[in-house]
Amino acid sequence: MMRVQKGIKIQFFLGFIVLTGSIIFATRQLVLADSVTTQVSVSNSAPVFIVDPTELPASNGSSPVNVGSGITFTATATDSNNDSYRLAICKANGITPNGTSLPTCSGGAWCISNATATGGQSSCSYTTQVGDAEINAWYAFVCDSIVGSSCSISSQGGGVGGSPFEVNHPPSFTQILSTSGDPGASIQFSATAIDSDISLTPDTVTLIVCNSVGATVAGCTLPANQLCVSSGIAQNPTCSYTLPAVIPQGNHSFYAYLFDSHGLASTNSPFPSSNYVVNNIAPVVSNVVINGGTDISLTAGSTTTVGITGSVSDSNSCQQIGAVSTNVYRSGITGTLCDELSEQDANRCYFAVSCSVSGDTCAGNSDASADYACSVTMQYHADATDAGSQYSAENWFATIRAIDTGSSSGISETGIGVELLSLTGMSIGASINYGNIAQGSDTGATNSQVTVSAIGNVGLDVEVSGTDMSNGTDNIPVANQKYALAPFTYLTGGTSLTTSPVEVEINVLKPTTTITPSQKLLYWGIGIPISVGSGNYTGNNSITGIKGEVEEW
Amino acid sequence: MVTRLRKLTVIMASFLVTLFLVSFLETKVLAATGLGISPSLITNTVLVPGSKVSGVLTISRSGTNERSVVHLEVHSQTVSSWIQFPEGVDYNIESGDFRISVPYVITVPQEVSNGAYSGSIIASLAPTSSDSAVKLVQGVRSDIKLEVNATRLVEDIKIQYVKPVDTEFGQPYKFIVKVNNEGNISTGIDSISVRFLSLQDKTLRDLRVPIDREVGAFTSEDLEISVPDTDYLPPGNYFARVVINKDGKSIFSDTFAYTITTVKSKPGGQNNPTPTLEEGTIQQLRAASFLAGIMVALGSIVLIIIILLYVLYRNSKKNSTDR
Repeated sequence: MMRVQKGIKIQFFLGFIVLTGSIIFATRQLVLADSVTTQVSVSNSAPVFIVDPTELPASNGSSPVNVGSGITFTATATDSNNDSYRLAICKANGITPNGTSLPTCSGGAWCISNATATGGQSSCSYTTQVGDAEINAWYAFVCDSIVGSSCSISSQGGGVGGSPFEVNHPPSFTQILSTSGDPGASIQFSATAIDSDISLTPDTVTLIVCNSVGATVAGCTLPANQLCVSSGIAQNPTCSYTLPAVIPQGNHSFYAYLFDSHGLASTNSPFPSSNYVVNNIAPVVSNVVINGGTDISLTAGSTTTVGITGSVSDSNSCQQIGAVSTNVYRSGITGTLCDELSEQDANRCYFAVSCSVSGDTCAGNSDASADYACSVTMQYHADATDAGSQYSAENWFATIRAIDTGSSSGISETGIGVELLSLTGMSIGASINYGNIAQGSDTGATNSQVTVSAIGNVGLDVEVSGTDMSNGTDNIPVANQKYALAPFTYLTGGTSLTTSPVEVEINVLKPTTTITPSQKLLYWGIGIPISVGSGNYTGNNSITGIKGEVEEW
Repeated sequence: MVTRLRKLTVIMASFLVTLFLVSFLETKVLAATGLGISPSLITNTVLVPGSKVSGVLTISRSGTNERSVVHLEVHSQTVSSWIQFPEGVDYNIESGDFRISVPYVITVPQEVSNGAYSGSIIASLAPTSSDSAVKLVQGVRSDIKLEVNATRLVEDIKIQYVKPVDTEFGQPYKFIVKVNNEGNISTGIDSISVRFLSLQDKTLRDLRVPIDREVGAFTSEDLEISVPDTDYLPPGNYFARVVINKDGKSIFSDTFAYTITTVKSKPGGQNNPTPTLEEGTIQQLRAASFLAGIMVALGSIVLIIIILLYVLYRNSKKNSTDR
């Protein structure tokens, strides 16, 4: 307001001077001549800055404007002719007024405002571009917006809000590499990156690596997902990350972000399609225990399930443990002779029995260990190793072999073997029936046969004994029954049965297969005393299987 | 052509007959009732007068799924009185079962003289009813061979197994050690050493715990061993290399997977008690709540009075303007 009044006063003063001069001139003309014609032309005046131009935000080397951000230029000017005016921010110190149209900056314009009433604040904005220089000078002009317009002289403002404005460019991020590593080891992320901005101090670059999307210059959005952060350096930053002790093998995605020292991310952050590789580690088998550490006792003529347990640890997590199997064998065979299908032998080697995870002992991909249980179906004729058996100096052992999903394997053997107990097993295949025989007669060369089969893991002999056969008060003495290991004629062969057990060296071999039975025949005959009456005589004969001499198995 | 066809028919028939015979033989063996006893030999050569040894016999049968009755007898002039069957001498193998365990105890009398003693245990099936005149009593025998020597003291301790017990973070590490004393005097192990390793085989702890417990002669015992630490390992997977020492020598060594779990949250429990307020605090909170209520009520009353006064003022002003 004060300034407007001052301007009016000046206008009055100028008008007074012009009027005074005209009067003096006219008087002189009147003195010199009798009659003179008078004429005057008042020219257009350019607007003038009354508030210096300034940029917002004010930028400099330490706080440049990031590419893509806008800068607003403001200034206030007045026009003596009360004309509206435009603010032009030019790239060079030169401008051509253009009437009511936009003036033309020499070297181009950053921005030109709309027409603004004299005395009002004018502003225009510019969005910074990647192609802008880091330091950009500007020259502000105010031009009135009338036919025959004119422009002021330039102004570059002053202080931090004055020319130039500074632009921060995103850093260049051309490559990200990572080393591979074992679980628990350190891997390194290396970026090929640089920042071209050098105003005040050269910009530095910082690498931030996350295992999920999202990061600012302060770090990954989820701090728990931050793998590593480099220090800010001029170029090619690196950072290291220690892999968890348990981590699945293979490719793991990561998201690499690159920021400059002003917090501006590279245009390609996160760097696309990035993976680090965790090496495959072979599983480790431990704590292999066969049959709970106790001796194995088989089942006559049948199979027995024997449990093998063990733990398998894999640094790539228990979820990456693939096939787990066990071999169970007599120690004299050793594990190396029981690791192929061709070596499978139910007497001494049970090969490649598959195992399964026990319960919920594998608790996820950060859990390394799982317990495994294997059930081996052992045949009744598996070699005994206890005292008095063929292989009494040996034990039974088991190995557990684990193969992970990366095809690496681990194997471990029981620390302590167990005995496989001897099993005396016998099956009798038929009964003794002598049929009808007259008093004073015998079975002659006709024998009743009893099949004695070994259904354990030892060779068999038998003990036989019997009782008198009776029919009311009549008895056929036990000794009238005879037995032999081969067919015999009653009068000339056989051994008389006794009431006390007598060992018979029948020597049934130790069975070695379930296909071919290991068995022998025991032949029986009887002589009927002439003194006994007719009728059915009954009695009991005992056949007891006993372990045969080892050398005769 | 016809001849070839005949030959083929004969070969096929032979094959089928052979297959039938093999099946028959196999069936025949399995169809017969079988009986087994394990072990075939019960032996102990380090007994002293007064020794007490326990064991288990396994009696098994095959060829039938019917109930079988088994009777046990000890045959010996000397050792028959040494052997007891705490669960009796008559057993049923029920339908669907094929084996039973028969515990036995051998007690060597105090007054017995040094020497070898033998006998046998016979398990026999009750004779099955049969049309034949001679009923067969089928049995199997386990021999007994014992040696008693009052002056021969034997120390024989074995580790049957070690089982690591996973523990929660902050708790002592635990191991179950199954100790079998197969000697005739009481004895024990001296110490257990545990080396904890990372999965990457880096040594993390070396711990040693003395063991001051004895196991009686001819007995087995599960020792639960706690291994304390001054700075407990964080939750995770480890390896534990366990060495058990006796008389300065290692009698057992093995490596185990060992897991330390996070402390489980137990609502209201000792580990994570549910937060509760003290009585004084509750009273203070109640008083504060009461005061706050009064303040709100007073504030509301004051606000209502102000609004009323404003309305009255507006009305009076309007009236004066109208006039």
